[in-house]
Amino acid sequence: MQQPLSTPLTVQDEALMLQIVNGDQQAYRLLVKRWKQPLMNYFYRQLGDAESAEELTQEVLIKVWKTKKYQPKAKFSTFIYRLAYHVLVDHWRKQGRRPQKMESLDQSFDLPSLALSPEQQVLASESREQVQVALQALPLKQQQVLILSKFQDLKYGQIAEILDCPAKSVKVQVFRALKKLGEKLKERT
Amino acid sequence: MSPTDCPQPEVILEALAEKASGAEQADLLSHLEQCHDCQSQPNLAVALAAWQALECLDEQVISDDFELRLLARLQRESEQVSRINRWLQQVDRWFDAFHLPALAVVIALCFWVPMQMDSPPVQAQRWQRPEHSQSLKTHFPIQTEDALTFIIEINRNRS
Repeated sequence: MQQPLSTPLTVQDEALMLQIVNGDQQAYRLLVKRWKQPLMNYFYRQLGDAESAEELTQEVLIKVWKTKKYQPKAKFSTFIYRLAYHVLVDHWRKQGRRPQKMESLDQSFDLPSLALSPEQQVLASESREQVQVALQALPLKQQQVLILSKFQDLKYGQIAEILDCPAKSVKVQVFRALKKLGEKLKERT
Repeated sequence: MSPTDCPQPEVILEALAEKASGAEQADLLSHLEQCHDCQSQPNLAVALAAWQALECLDEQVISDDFELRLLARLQRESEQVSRINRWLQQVDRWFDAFHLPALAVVIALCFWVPMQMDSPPVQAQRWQRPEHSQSLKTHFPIQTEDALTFIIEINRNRS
């Protein structure tokens, strides 16, 4: 894997993936460059631990390299987040269970209103850990719908494909997850 | 959008999540600002506040040597796989060359080993009349063998 990169940046991920299935290392390196950061963010927002997030990002990218069959029916982002979701599920399974650290949410947390004032923005940035802990206390699928819809720019239809559930249920799950998250944060105020 | 036809909370959230067009979002937000019905919905307010609270989950920049470590790991894994493959090929070659003689030896061993194992000697036991029928001995003192010998003797004499 020491060849210089010459694949143009305009090549679609789906096309790159088809090249990777045929063992194209150059295409793989380009895909790694494009996807390492989004995957890292996806894991980091849920785990809150950079080391584990990098480890899981590696797992996903290794799975991409080892993929022998790929049919570009769906968007590549759906394919890769589906892999990432399964890697995350495996991670929690190996850990035994997901952390339920709600008891550590003992500091007060003010929910920001619709329009964030500068003070509220500061508060929000300080309360990262509280939000993350509350997020981790949600059921895994609810956590996924929030992260995937909020940060990964995925449509509800894609999220439904990733999580193997009907698109209608994603809509309901997002609302329920937000309601639960808001209540959990509010409980501590 | 008039306050009378308020959108469902799920629809509002979908518009936010799926990054609906600027005009559509502005329309929804202005409706939310004006509509008392929507503002008095506690669930919607909580959900929208939680949606904004998620903003504080910031990004984490991946380390510079990530790609190097990834490629090194892939290299290690492929070496490991090739080592296992080589070993399997060796076993396969060995099996191709020797599988018939080896099978014959295994079958022979299956027969030979049980034969060599010492089985405990079977001792012939003399039949003993049970305790409760000992009295029969006095009434029928002739044993079966004696009776048969006697019958054979008679037959021989007749012939």
